[in-house]
Amino acid sequence: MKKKLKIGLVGNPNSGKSTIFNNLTGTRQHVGNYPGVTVEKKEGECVYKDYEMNIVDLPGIYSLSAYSEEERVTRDFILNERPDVIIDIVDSSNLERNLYLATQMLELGVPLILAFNMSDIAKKRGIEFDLTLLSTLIGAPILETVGSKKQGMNELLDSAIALTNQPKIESYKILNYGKDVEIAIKQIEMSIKAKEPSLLASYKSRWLSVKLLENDNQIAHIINNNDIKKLVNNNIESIHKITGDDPDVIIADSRYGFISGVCQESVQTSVESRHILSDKIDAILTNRLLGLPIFLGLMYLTFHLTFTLGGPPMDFIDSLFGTLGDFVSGLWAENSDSLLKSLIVDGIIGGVGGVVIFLPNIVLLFFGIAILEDTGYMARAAFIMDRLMHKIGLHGKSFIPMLIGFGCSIPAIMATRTLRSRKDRLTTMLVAPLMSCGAKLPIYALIIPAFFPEKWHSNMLFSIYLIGIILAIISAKLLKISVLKGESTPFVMELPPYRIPTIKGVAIHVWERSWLYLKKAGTIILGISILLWALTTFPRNDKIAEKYEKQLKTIEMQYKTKIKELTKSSGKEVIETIKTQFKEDKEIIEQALQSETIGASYAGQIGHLMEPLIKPLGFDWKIGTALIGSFAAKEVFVAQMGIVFSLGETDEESESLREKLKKHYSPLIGFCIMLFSLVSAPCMATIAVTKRESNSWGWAMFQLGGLTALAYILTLFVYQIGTILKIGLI
Amino acid sequence: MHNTIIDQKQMMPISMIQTHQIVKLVEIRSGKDLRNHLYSLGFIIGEKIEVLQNDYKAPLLVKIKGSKIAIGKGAGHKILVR
Repeated sequence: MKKKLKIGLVGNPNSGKSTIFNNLTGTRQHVGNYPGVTVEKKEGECVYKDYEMNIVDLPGIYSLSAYSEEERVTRDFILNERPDVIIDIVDSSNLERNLYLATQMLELGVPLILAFNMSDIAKKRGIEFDLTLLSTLIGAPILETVGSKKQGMNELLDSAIALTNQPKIESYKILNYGKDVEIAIKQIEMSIKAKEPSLLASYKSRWLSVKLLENDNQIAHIINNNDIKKLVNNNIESIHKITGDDPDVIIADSRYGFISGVCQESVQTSVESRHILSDKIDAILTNRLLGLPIFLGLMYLTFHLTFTLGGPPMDFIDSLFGTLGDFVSGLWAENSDSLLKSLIVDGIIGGVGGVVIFLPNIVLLFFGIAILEDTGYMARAAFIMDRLMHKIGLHGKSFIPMLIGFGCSIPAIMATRTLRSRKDRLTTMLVAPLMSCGAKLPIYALIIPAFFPEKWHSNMLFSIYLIGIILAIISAKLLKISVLKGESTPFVMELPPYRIPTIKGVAIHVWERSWLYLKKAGTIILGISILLWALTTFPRNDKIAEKYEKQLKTIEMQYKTKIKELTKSSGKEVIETIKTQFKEDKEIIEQALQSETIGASYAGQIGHLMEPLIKPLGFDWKIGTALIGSFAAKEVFVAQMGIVFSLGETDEESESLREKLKKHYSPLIGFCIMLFSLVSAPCMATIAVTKRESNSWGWAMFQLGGLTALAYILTLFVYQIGTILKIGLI
Repeated sequence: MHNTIIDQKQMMPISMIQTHQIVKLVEIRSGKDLRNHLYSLGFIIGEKIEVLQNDYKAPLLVKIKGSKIAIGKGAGHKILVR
C-alpha cells in the first residue's frame, strides 16, 4: 500500500504555479498569463517513491483575505480539507510582493514549503539569496525551482515527504504586529478560548484574532458570541485612537516590515534592471492612441490566419471524407436504397465529417489565442478595453471572460468568478455567449466561402466577430442601466511581464482544444447526427417515390415520342436541345422528390411547423431543423445541413455542400444564418453553466430567451431591409 | 509660530499625478476590501510608486514593488500620494 499525501499548491498569479502543477502531475491543463487563470480547483495525481500524492492546484491569489472568490476558495480549502503540505510557489524575481502571501500562510500555521520559482530569471537579474538564512528567518523550508525547465521538482516532493514525517510543530513562526495590536490579540484570544472553544478545533486562536481585527467579513460571521464581537470592536476603535490607523493597516504594514527585514538580511540585488524590455513593449502596446488599433489588428490577424492557413488542410480532410464516402457507397449496388448505407454515408460521414473538416480552423484559432494569452498580452487587452468597458458600466477585467468566450462560452462564464460585484458578474455572464465561440466558427467557415468572393473572406469573418463584440457591449450597457443597475467596482489588475510562450504550453493548449473538438464530434455530434438522420429519413413514404416515378415515366414517354417525331422533320441541333431540356426536367423532378421525401419526414414536419415563424428571416424548414439541432451543439448546424442536402442524392457526381447551399439560398440568407447563429440561443451546456454560476434558473432562462429574441429581431430586420433594398439577393 | 519642516509637496490622489513621476504612498482612502487588496499588491504606506501612464479617462498604469499594476480612475482617486 502506498501512503497517501495531499498537497496544495498556492501562489500569486503568474508565479508559474500551473507549470509546476503540470510538471508534477502531467495533467494537461492550460497555463495562461493573466490574473485568475486557474479559477477552478484542479487536481492531479502523482506517484512518487512510496507515496500516492493528490496535488491540488489552487487559484492564483495575492492574499488570504476574503477579497475575491479565489481567495475564499483557497482559504476554505486549506482550513477545511487540511492538506498535509502546502507548497507556496514564489516568483523569486519579485520576492517581496510574493512573500506577502507566504506570511499569511505562516499565520495560518500550515505545514509550508516555499518554492522559489523562476530562480534562473532572478539570478539573471542579479538577485542572490542566502537560502539557509532565509529559511531560518521565515521558518519554512525553501527550494529553488525553474518550472519551465522542470528543475527542482523531485526535490520539492522529497521536501514535502520530509515535512510530513517531521513531528507536528505546534509553535509556528509568529509575526509581531507591534505592541498595540499584540495586546488586542491576546485579549481576543483569551475571550475566544473562554467563550467559543469549539472553534479552536478548526482554527488557531491567534489567527482568528488577527482576522477579526482585520475586520474579515467571513470570519466575523462564524463568531456568534456578542462579547467577543464587542471586544473586537472596542479594540479596533482604541487602536485607531492610539495610532491613527486601523488594525488592518498596521497588520499589513507589519507583514511587509517582516518581509523587508528578512530580505535585507538574506537577499542581495546587484543590478537594478527590471523588465526594461517589458516596459518598452508596453510603451507601444498600451499606448493611448496605438493600443486599440493594435489590439484590433492582432484580432484581425488571428482571424485572417485562421482562414487562409486553414484552407489547404481543410481541402485535404474534405477529400479524405469524400473518398471514404465513395468507398463505403461502393460496397452497395448502384442506386441501392439500403438504410445502412444511408446511415453511414449520409448520417455519419455527412454529419460528423462535415464537422471534422473544420478542425484546422479550430487549431489555428486556438493557436492564436494561446499565444496572445501566454505572452501576457490578454491582460493588456483588458487594460486597453477598460476605457470602453467603463462606458458600459463594467471594467476592463470583464473583458477577459469575454475574450475567453472566443474560445468557448463555458470557461468564459466560469472565468467571471474573478469579478467581485455580483451584478458585474451576471452582466458579463449573460453577454458572454455573444462573443463568437469556436463551435460557431464552422458555421461561418461553411457559409462565407459559399456565398462571398474570396477577397471578402477574412473581412466577413472579422465583421461577424466584431458584430458579436458590439452587441455584447450594447447588451451589457442595457443590462447595466436596467435590471443590473449598480455601482461599478474598482479596477485594479496586475499586468504580468511579457514572456515568450513555451512551445509546450501553447501545444498543450491547442491540443486540449482540438482534442475536445474531435471528442465532441465523435460523441455528441455523432449521436445527434444519427438522431437527425433518423428524423430526416423516417417515416419512409413509398407513395411519394411512386408518384414521382410515374411522373418521370410520363415525361420520358412524352420526350421519346417527341424525339421520334422530330427526327424525321428536324436536324440534329433541335434534338440536342430537346435532350438537354429533358435532362433538366428530370433533375427538377428528382429534386422535388428529394424535397418532398425529406419534407414528409419527422424533421420535415417539425421544420414545416416552424416555417411560418422563421420564413420572415429568410429561413426555410431545412435551416429550421439545423437551428434546432444546433441548440445541442453549434456545430450540429453544419452536420444537419450536410445530412439534409446529401439524403436522397441520386446523381453520382455530388456537389460540395457549399455549392448546394449557393444554389438554394441567396447571400443575404447566408449572412442571416450567420447572424442568427451568432446571437441566438447559446448551446445547452452554456445555459447549464449559467444556471450553475448564477445559481438561478431565472438568469439562465433570461439568457436563453433574451438572446434568442435579440437574434430573431436582428435577423428579421436585416433580412427584410436587405430584401427591400435588394442587397445580396443573387 | 513657524514649522521647521514644511511639506514641499501637497498630498493628492494618484489619478492626478502625471506620467513618469515617482511618488510616495501616503494613504488609501477606500473601503476595507479595496484597501486590503491594494496592500496585497504592495501598496503600503511610504512605498515608492512610479506612474508609467496616466491618460485622460483611461486607467492608470503604475509600477510598484517591481510589478506593473493597472488602476481604474475610480480607485486612483482613493490612493493619496505625495
